[in-house]
Amino acid sequence: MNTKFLAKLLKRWYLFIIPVLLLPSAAAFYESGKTTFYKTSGRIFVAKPSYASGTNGTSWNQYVSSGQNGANLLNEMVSFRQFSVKVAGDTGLARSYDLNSRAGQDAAYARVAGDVAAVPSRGAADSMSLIVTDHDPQMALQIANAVLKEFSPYLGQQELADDQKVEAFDQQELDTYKSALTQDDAQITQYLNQHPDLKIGGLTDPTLDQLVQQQTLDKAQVTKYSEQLNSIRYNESAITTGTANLFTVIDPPQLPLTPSHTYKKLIEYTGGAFALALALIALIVGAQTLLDRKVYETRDVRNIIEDLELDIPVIESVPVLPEGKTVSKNGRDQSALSGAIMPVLMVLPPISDEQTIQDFRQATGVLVEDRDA
Amino acid sequence: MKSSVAASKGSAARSAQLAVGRSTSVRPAPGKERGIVAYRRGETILEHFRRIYLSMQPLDTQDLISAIGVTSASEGEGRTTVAVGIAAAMAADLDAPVVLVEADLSHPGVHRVLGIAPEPGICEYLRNECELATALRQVSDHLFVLPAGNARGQASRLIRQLTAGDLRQRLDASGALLVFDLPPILTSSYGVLATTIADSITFVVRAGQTRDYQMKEALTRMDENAVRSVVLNATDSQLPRWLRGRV
Repeated sequence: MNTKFLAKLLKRWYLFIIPVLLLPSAAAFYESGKTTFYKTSGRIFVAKPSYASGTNGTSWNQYVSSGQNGANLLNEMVSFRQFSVKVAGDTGLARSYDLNSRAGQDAAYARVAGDVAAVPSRGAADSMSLIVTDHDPQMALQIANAVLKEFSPYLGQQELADDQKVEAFDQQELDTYKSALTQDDAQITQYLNQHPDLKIGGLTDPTLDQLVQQQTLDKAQVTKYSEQLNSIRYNESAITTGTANLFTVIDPPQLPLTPSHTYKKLIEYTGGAFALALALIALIVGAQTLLDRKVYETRDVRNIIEDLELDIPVIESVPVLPEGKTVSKNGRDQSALSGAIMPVLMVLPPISDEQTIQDFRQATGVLVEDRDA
Repeated sequence: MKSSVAASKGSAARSAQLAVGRSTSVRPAPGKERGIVAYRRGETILEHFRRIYLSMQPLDTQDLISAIGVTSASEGEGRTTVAVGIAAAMAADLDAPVVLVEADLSHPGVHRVLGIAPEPGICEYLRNECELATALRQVSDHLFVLPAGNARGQASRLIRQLTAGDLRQRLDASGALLVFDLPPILTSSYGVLATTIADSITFVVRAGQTRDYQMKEALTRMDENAVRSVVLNATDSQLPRWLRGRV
């Protein structure tokens, strides 16, 4: 690891502690505030409708459980803006948002659609769970109850509207085929009158056979559409009379008393902020290290000498010497002993009468420095 | 006069030597204990500078380099400290007299380090205001100092006089070993010129202060054959002790 990087990091470690503590704390605070929500749920029995086995084009899926079908229907309903706004109208959201305005409706729709979810109940194929999650526990319960209240009638209305469309279409088809059948009968009668020697089930006549075949097909269509119309009308009657309610609440939703936290996100947020802080610090210190062009180690000196292709054989280092205190001499600052080198003077031998030095003194005429003068 | 001065001047060193000579089994008086500590610290510090001047000596000859110059890229890098340290180490080890010449005429500092009077010095000698004998000061047995004196704004002219004049010859003739405290290369107009007065240059770099480009620039300006050593001054491990061995 780069020692310069480490040194820079450790030199002002106290500054880097701040983001390391601050960012995760802020993230934890933000996330804990954000994740305080209340959840309520209700269990609903879902009955299989009488038309489910028919082919009238309803949204009921025969290949999944009733619970799953119910959950699908409810989730689909909630995704309808009109339904969510209707639900909001039955709750305190009607006071919070202006449901007559487009913006208010949008806000209410977003809140309800975001809060409500339906899932098939575990271990029970014919039931589903309605789950409502909201920051306000009262609101969660209100929305859950409103959904349960509005869901069946709204679904019924939807079904009725769909059925009426299908009924109209089927009736049109039935009339067409009935008319065709009448024509078929007339044609056969006319043909038999023209050919008295022929009778149905008698000698083979291709034209007569074709006319009879057509009559059989049209009869089958008339029968099919008649049955479909009967089924649809039965369903419409059930919806209209209220006997088509497929949903029965088994466990009604309760007021949630304690918030349901998901600490998973809290850990993610805090961990992410911690990682971000570390990355930020690494980035800052890395940039400082890269931009720092000061010489710190003999290795740096050696690199510079190599860069310049110089032949400097000796690289020595002197450690930081403790600063010696200034010894003022007779109050004269100019001749005061100072600096880290001062202890060295203690080591130097006192002036002696050595011949070499006497010779040098004579050669230069030097005086002995009077440091105490 | 001279003898009394010498006696008083060497009193600190002598007292330290006496203190060293005492038996360690007897607890010394507080003042003497401080003396021992100071002496040992002085020896330790001296050892760093001893290494510098010894490592600069050529291996193929017994002759010592007669004039060592100490310079740096800019001010405040420890030139004077290193120059005084080298001179003191040489004075402590060698039989020859050692003269510390303060050639940084604009910013003299040796007098503060050694506690001597700043004037007269080289400037006064070069202006013929005093004799060499007056400017040259003996501070210990083998250590002599020639302070800068007062340049009076004529540092550039005086340094030319110094490099071209006969001072170097006079000192060489006296058998002294010379240590020059030179001006910085980049911040002094006569820094490069001043290096010509020394035979061998020690370039001082202060750890954590000198920039690489400053060092490069200064080394490029100087005669590359004259620079014999680089001293990284004030080195200090930036890592805490517990981490040093692990990285």
